[in-house]
Amino acid sequence: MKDFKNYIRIQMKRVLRALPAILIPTILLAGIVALFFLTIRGIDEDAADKKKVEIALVGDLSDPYLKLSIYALEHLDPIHYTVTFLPMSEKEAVQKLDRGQITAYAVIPEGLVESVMRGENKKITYVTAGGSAEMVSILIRELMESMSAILVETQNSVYGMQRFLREYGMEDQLQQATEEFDLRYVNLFLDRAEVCEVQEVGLANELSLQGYYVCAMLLLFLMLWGIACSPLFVKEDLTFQKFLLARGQKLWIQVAGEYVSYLALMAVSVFVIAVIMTAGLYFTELPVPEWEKGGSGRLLFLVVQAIPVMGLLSALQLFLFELVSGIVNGVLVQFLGAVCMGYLSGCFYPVSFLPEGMQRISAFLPSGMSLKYLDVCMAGQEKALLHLIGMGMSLFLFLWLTMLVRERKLMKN
Amino acid sequence: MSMKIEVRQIQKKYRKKAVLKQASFAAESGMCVGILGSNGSGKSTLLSVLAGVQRPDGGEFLLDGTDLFQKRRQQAELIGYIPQGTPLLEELTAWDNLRLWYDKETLKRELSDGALAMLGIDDFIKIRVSKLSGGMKKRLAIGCAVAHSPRILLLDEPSAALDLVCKERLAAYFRRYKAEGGILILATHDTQELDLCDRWYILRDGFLVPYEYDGNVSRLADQLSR
Repeated sequence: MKDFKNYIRIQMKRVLRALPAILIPTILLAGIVALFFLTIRGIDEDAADKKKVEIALVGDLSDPYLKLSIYALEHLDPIHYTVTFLPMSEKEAVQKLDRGQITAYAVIPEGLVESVMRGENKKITYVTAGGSAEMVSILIRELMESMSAILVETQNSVYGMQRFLREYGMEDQLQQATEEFDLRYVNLFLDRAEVCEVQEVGLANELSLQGYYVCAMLLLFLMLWGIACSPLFVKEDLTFQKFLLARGQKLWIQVAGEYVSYLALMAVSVFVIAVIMTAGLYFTELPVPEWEKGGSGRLLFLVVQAIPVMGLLSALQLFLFELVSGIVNGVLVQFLGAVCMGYLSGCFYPVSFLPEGMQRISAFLPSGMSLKYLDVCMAGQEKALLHLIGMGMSLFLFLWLTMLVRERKLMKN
Repeated sequence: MSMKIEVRQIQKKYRKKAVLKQASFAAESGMCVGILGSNGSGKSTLLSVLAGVQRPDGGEFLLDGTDLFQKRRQQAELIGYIPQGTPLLEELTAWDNLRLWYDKETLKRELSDGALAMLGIDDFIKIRVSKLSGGMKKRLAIGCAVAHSPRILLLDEPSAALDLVCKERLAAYFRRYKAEGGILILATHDTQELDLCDRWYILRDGFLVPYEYDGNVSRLADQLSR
């Protein structure tokens, strides 16, 4: 135990000496991550305000009923805020879809209206890029089916009514009855705006987009922070570790001592940044709806809640340092590790945007677990225990792996 | 107190390659043993096995009849080991590095009138290790290794790349260590250190072959190249 205390003491002294040198890149990193957050926020706001889904319509669009349906969807329905229909040739539509300039195109079959008049139902073909099951594609497919249904059902009823009048010798009323029917359908269509209400339930754990990205950026910052520590924790050789082992300092003492000092260094660096940011937030508009109740101090509180995340990421980063030798390799492995895991865990795009397989992988990654835990903390929910158990198990796994790698390296040399 | 060590048939394999096959030698108090051998012959491996850093695949390391391989704590208490390279924390001062192994009072005493004084560590005690010369680092490493007053000192090429003054300082320390009854085991190519030794062994094909060093370097080089 005395050895352990001594080793921790000397390691703490070592990291404290290095603290000023580590704080400079840390502040720089915090600035980059904050800038990244603001950029993503800006893009999302712009996207919400300006971007419309563009769908090409291909085929025969000359029928007045078809024109009415398209016009109604474009101008009378709330859809017109999000969707634009663009008539064009199929060749042009295929090219634009390839270039990502349109989301999809719909092929209106020739004689669609006439076929409906005959009681047949020709299908509208909806073409999207790839097999993506993203939300926009699903919604658009639904929209096309709705449009088709509106057209078919309207015409079925109009023609049914006309047949009825003819069969019963009331052809003189045909024109007036058709017009009444049409008006009634248009009225029903206009009332569709009242049929549904759109509510935003937010992303993971019902967080706002801003809340989600604050968690994601905090996680990304913590993962990238390992880069700043490369000069201190990457081992050029294992001479010191051999020396320690010969003096009876077991491997677990070495790894635990380095882990504690690494975690302390990370916590101190992050708190310094958090205090600076909290002071900055005090004078500006709070960027996150979840913080409206607690004020600018909520960032500091979130950082305190993030201590288990720091614990897990410290173990992960020490493990990565153990795998490589040389500062350049250390920086590379930390950077690539942070970016890859950040991507898979939803730091750049919410994880629900990723394919199902990636989402499954993300759930088992330390970064994925950490982001879920942070989301729960940000949302102010009290169901973090399960996440904490998973994170704790991963933490010990990484420490054990670090010991294993070090033992193997010492045995090889 | 007099003691005797006996290293018997040490074996060590890396995957399938046997680096040490039947390495054996013996030494007594006040003796220096020189382990010679070409690069990659297994000298460092032998020392790290004896120091307890690596586990042997077979063999015994007897100290007065007790197998130190079976008594890990005793092995750590009795042996001081200085591997090749710098077993120090470069970001800290010499004082900080020594404080890992010495309590404050003992360190002060040793610096004024002890092994550390003899190694001349006081001259650079407040300087950061990263700014020390190779010789200073080596002396500091030895200072750290002898903090627990080990009875056996294992040194892996201690004089490599040191200047003459520094070599002489180390040699003086080693002579004193021997005179106080310690056993020195050196893996070396340095002629000055070879002169310090009382027994010499050439490590060849995993075996330790006794050799009589008479100061003739060309004969030694001829033996090593075989």
